[in-house]
Amino acid sequence: MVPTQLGFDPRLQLIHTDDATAALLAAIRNPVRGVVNVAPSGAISLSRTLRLARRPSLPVPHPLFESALTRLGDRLGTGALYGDAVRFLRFGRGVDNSRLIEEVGFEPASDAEATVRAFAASLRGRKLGPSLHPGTLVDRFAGASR
Amino acid sequence: MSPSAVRAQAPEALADFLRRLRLEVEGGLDPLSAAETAATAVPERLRGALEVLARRARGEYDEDEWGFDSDYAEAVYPVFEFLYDIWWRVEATGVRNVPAHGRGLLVSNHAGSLFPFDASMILGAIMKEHPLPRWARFMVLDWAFSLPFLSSFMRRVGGVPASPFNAIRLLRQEELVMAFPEGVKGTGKPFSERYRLQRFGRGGFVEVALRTGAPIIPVAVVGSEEIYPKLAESRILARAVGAPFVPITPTFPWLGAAGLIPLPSRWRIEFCEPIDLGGHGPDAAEDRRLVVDVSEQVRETIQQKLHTNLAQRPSAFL
Repeated sequence: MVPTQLGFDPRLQLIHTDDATAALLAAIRNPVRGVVNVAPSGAISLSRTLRLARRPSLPVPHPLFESALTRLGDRLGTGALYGDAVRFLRFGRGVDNSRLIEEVGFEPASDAEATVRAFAASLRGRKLGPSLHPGTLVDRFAGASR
Repeated sequence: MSPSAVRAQAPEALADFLRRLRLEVEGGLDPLSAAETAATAVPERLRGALEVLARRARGEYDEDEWGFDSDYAEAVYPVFEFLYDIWWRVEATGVRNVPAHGRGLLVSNHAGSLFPFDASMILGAIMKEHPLPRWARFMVLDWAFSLPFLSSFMRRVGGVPASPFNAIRLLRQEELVMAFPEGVKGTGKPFSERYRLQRFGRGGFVEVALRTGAPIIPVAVVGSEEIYPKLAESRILARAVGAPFVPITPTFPWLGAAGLIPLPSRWRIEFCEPIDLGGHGPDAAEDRRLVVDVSEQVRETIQQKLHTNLAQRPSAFL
């Protein structure tokens, strides 16, 4: 069961781990000035993401969701981070990746939907949890640049 | 088949199934095999519809980067059709001025204090009367996306938070986009000022059209002002829910939820001649004078068409 906010269905842009590392490499090879959004093309709603991942959702009224996550954030000492996550999981966000494609010259191989499908495929029969922690990201990065 | 059609058929199919089940059991079959035989009696069409629902439950449906869900939009379209044909008896003219393909910016007056239905009826006019029907996207005040249910509903049927950035991106994707330059000033004006166009912001919609080379199609909507006549507004309620304004109408909030039913006014929608700004080039968006001039031209066109359509409408309600 994945708690969601009742009556809201945010759009998400989850990036494939392979694309995330490749984007970092591309940024090193072709440095550009300023902020560049690293995001896949397209977007996918949270409800469809959960359906593809075969996880039932548990809609919770958003004031309750917010207070629960804020309390969790306070306990973990990250407060504001969780507050931002609540807003993100209510409204979603879509960012434009045209600078990444045109200026850095890197186009993510998987779009938002393909990323979720790949994640769902790797997930079959396992519990939903982060597929990546900073350690594996560093390992991958080191492996890819060699 | 749409989910609503499934719901309509379901009770009948269930009755069929139970009737068949009873016959089989009476005929001497054990309950389990009887159920299996009876299941084949479920009509083909319903089985197809159940498959559609199962497919949706697995997440196998289309959704674009804006959250537009064509299956969902198709399923709720009959509601728009009912409002269009029966509730508001909309008469649309000039629908052929809407481009059959490629980008186009529809610019309309905005009204209907409690819940502006004008976007849905313009959409209905294009879907029903255009030789090549197409679904238009519409710009919605950000605030509407902070409301549960309305937020996800708007997105699924083609609503997009109003911003020049979003409009430009949609137009570059060759979509038909609806914008309401009056914004809250249009929906929030008192009933006594109905059909009097408010200021058109700073003409941002003209800049969008110039940058993308999209033609502007002015649209005049008559009937939307009478659906929730705003007699007064409640500052206290507005502050409590964080709304730009909360209208007091003859029925709302007095009748509670029943006050949300829009009045059955008679509507007319006129699509005017497209204004093609393609010749100016994208840099002309910086030209304040041109932007203000075109904005004023569009505003005057709509205002004039509002008057002619009001005169042509036999009466506001009958």
